[in-house]
Amino acid sequence: MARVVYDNVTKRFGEVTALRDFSLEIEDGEFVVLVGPSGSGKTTALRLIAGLEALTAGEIRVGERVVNRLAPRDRDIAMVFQDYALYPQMTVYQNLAFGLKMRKMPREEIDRRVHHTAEMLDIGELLQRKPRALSGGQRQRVALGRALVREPKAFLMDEPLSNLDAKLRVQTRGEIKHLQEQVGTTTVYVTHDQVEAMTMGDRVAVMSEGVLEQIGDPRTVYERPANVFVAGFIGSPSMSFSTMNAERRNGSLTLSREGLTLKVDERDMPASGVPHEVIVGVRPEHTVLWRDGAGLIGPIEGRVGYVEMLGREMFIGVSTPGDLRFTVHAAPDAAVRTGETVRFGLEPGSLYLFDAETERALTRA
Amino acid sequence: MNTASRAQVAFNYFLIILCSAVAVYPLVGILLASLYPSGAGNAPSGFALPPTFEWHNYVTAWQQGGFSGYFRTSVIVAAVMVPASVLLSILGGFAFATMQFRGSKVIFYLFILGLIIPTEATIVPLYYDVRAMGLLDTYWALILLEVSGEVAFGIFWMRAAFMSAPRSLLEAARIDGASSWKTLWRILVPFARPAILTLTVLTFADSWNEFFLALVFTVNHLTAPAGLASFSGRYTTNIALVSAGAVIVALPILVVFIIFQREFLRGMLTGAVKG
Repeated sequence: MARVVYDNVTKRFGEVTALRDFSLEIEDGEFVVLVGPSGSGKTTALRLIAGLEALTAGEIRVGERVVNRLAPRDRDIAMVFQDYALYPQMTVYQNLAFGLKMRKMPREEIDRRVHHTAEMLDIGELLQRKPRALSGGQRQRVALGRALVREPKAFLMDEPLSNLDAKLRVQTRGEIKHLQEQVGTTTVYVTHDQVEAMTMGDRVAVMSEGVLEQIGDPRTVYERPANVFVAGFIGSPSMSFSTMNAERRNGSLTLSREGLTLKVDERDMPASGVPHEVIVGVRPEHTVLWRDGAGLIGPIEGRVGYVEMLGREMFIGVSTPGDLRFTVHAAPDAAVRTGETVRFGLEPGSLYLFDAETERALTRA
Repeated sequence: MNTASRAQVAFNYFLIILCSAVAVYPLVGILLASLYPSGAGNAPSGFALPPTFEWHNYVTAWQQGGFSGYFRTSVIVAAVMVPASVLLSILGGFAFATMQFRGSKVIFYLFILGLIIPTEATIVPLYYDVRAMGLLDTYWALILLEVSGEVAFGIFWMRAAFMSAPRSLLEAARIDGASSWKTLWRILVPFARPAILTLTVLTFADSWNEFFLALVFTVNHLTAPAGLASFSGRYTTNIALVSAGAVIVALPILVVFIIFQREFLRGMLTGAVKG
């Protein structure tokens, strides 16, 4: 077990910069999820720890050792691949044992470890089978087993759940998290699925275009996004954004745009003040159908573009006459149809303000 | 099944039967011819069954043609040449498929040139080279020349086969601690087994069918096809005996193909059809 540290790491593929000045410290035993859209550099970041790519600048440390120039096999890490990468002609037992054999471990020790791991993962029955005779879920377990059996300094997982069906994915998500807590091995986990990131990570590192946008525990990343990208990426359905003019008057803030005016209480304003133009973000769960006397900010009126019925709740896509778009959260029995005009309001204290120029977070209002 | 697809199936069968008939037609002809009573006056005509089945023609052809000598040459050459060229193809294909090194592209295209340039174009300088090495009329002349001709295709073939392996498989092996050598033999070779078997069968067929090189470089070490040519030169009028000789020469390839039929087809289809 060990800390994993990225120190100003840059990786270029020819003209393309996949990772830019990336710094991140992953504590011993921590479960960190790298999350971001495709092309954000998360997989590159993972492959750099594994040694499957060579870095262009900076330093990567596993434990106290700088591993920049070490071959993958000398880094003492194990990786779970998206497609599992099980050796097709070997049995499950041989798949688990291969890495240990390559390290010249005594036969008895290999046998002990393979059986112990198989028991942990409940794949003892499958040891003599070949990968093609396994279901997707079973293959996934064997892939995990191949990492566990090595007892490495760190686990690297590259979207290991993306080939499973939705139900199995949720179940396995919990199991991986539980296993990691049991063995306590430092884990770096890559996914594009923000629900996976939020549910599994001790900390979540949100990435975009090769840059680390924010690192924090799931709650912080959700409640205090550092910028517009993080705010929009984390949360489903995602936050609604509108660019508005801001004006401060006697301790209150007026946000306006094309006939729409919102008055909000000012709190925790940055000392530098609020710029003239801001991006206002609001999450769907804080955007609700209008009720008189509920203390909402509004009312805002708009046309219903779509209705998403999820059974337990409903999300309504609304565009205002000034073409601002909001996602409104409603009870499943709300009588709303596409094309209708609805009135809705925003919960006080739920607005996120971002600098329109830098897209950095300013405050909540 | 609806009518449209039934018509389609019928058409497919028609095509397959037609192609098979075209392929089988001369073989059946030669088989029938080989069973006619031997002698100049007994030339077979068309597909008429022979008046008597003269199985003894095969024994006669074998003995009079001296095929045991030709077969010895072909077997010795194939026994050395096939493993050697398959091994070199595996090693070369592995390097081109998985390693990046300076000049790898240029060297690869150089090998491809070997596929494109016909042996006939280089045969004269080759003759002087072989003579200078003192290898004229030896097994080595055939073995070395055939291997060098065969690895051009073999490397191309094995490179494609290894490149069809998922990249993650190689990466998993690297992380698991396998050296390049172990990765090749423990992971990639078992993965590419059908392709390797197919290459082996194709290489064997090429080696067995070697005619031109044997004709140019050997006198006392003729291969089976070259031996057949000399045999048929001597017995131009005895069609039954020449036919029997031709069947004898073709037989080993048929046997090898029948044994490896399934793997051969699997190897041919690797990559053509999504598994």
